[in-house]
Amino acid sequence: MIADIGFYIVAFAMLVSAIWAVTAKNILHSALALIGSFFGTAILYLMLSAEFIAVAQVLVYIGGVVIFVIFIILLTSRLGDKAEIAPAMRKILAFALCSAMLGTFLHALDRAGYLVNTKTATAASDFASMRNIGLRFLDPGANGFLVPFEIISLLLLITVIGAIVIARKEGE
Amino acid sequence: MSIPLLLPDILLLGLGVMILALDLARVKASLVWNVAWMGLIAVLVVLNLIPAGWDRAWFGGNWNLSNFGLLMREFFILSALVTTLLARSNFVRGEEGFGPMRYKPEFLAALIFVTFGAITVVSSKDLLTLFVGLELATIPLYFLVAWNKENAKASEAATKFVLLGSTSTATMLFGMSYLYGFAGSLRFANIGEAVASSPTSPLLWIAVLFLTAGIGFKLTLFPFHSWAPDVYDGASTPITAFLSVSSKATAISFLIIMVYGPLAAIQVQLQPLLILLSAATMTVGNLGAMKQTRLRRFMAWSSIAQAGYILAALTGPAMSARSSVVFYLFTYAFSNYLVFFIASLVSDRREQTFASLTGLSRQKPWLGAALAIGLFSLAGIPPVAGFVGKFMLFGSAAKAGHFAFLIFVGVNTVIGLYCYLQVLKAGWVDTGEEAQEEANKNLRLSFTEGASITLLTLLVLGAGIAPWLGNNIAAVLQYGP
Repeated sequence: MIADIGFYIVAFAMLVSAIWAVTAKNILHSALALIGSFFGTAILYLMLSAEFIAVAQVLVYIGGVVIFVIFIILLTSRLGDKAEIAPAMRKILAFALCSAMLGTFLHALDRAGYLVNTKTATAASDFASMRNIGLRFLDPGANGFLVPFEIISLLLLITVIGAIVIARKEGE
Repeated sequence: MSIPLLLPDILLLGLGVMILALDLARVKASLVWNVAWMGLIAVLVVLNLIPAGWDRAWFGGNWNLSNFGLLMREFFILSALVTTLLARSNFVRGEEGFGPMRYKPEFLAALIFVTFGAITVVSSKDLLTLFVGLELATIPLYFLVAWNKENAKASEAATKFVLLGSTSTATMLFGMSYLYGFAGSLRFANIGEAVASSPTSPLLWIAVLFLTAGIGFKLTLFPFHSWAPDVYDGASTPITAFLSVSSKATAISFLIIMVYGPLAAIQVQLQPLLILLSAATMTVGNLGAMKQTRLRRFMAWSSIAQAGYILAALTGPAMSARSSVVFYLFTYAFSNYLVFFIASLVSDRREQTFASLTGLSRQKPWLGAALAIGLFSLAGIPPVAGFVGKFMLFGSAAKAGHFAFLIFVGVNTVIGLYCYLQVLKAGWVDTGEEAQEEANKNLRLSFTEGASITLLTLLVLGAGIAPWLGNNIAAVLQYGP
């Protein structure tokens, strides 16, 4: 019961900051509002006892992505500038599309029986624990994901090399 | 564990790492290039020593070698090999007035890693490996597009590619998360069971919707195709060719794996969606190709139309879809690379437009003939390879009885022929651009270019004259252990 109330409080805070992020006139405010939304997501992950994902969410999104976004904004735009206002037609179209998508999702979730759910399905509390995630990533057996884990390292290697080539000044 | 079956994959990976290591040892860049293409040929030879009929999995079922995977491995390595050969001139003389590109070893290593990513896609047995493979086959392409730093259009193209590409990746990941939530497992076998037991679940269809949207971007299907002309035009010629062949083949393998794997139980219900996407894509591609003047931009629209044709085969039964798509991919790759080789050749110092082909058939009849063969194959005119390929693709759709759709496809093929003939007209009929004709007179082919163009022409002709080669592909796919 307390967890339920906590969920609604966090979800409400997330919605408010998400709407703020989209509607804020100042692009820097949008970036800051994103932090609130990401932090709320991290709390939701914690409530689902997925502490690794929660920590990753804070480290990667708040610590990395948003700071990166803010850097880019400060480096490229003049904050005094007036925000570009989308034409009314586009706003209406975007609103209609988003409503249609929301409607589809609600309908689908309703038909699948997830919208009004009286039974609570819970995984074992250590299902997404750091220990289990680590063990499954390094397990070459039927329960593990060793191959994708190793391929991610290839991906990171070649991405770093490519980024250095692109960022490097010519003539050095 | 039968490790020898994994040898080509390991060798390919080793080749990529070795090229990077050679660069660290500061050997000459031309040597690195030689190591790259010889290494790729070696991997291809080892791959051909592996007999078909293995359907085995390693590492707890994360890495799998099937007959389809075996054929696609050949395709991807062959495509990387041709791109390596095509890329040579960009590093030696540059193109379209830009100087030679730099960082050849990193470029070649990135190509090989992308190829490994594509191989990961066809080896996957679970959503996680599939997704990571798809990313490895996509992310390096973002910076490969921007490789020519002198070219501002390349940077613009890469920026568009990154932004739209990450959006599509997010869309696809969203779909995958729904699929995971629906099935409760990442393994294809378990997802297949869940799909078969509740094929009407709304969660499943939301997943299908988002997966199609995500992969539609990579395959340049109709509503998600708008990035292709800009990116293809901005990238250098070898990367454009690689994007239009390997990247597209990765996406279509992904669809084949999903549609005939975990989603096999709802393939019949998927057919209307596929028909709609296919029909819209080929129409848009052909209409877009009509008004182009730049060759790479034209090839982008052409490849959009081709994606529509390939998708048509997926409305058919599993075996004919697989065999016709694999055969068509080979013929498409040969013809596409042939056209790109000639496009790269005429744009050594000039803009790569239709006009730069002026007088090609008068000054260099053999090149003119090769261009004609490549374009006829893309349009699907007998007796070249593209005709047989298209015949098999549409035959697959016919097996499922979609005849009205096939009439529409036939009309589209005619429109496509008009577009390809426009390029041919530039090379064979048009006069007036004296400077261009003079420049074409002075074209000098390097040995690599001459040999590649000859070989590709022979392959396009050979696969058209000997269409039973396609039966070999069907035989390999059906071969049991």
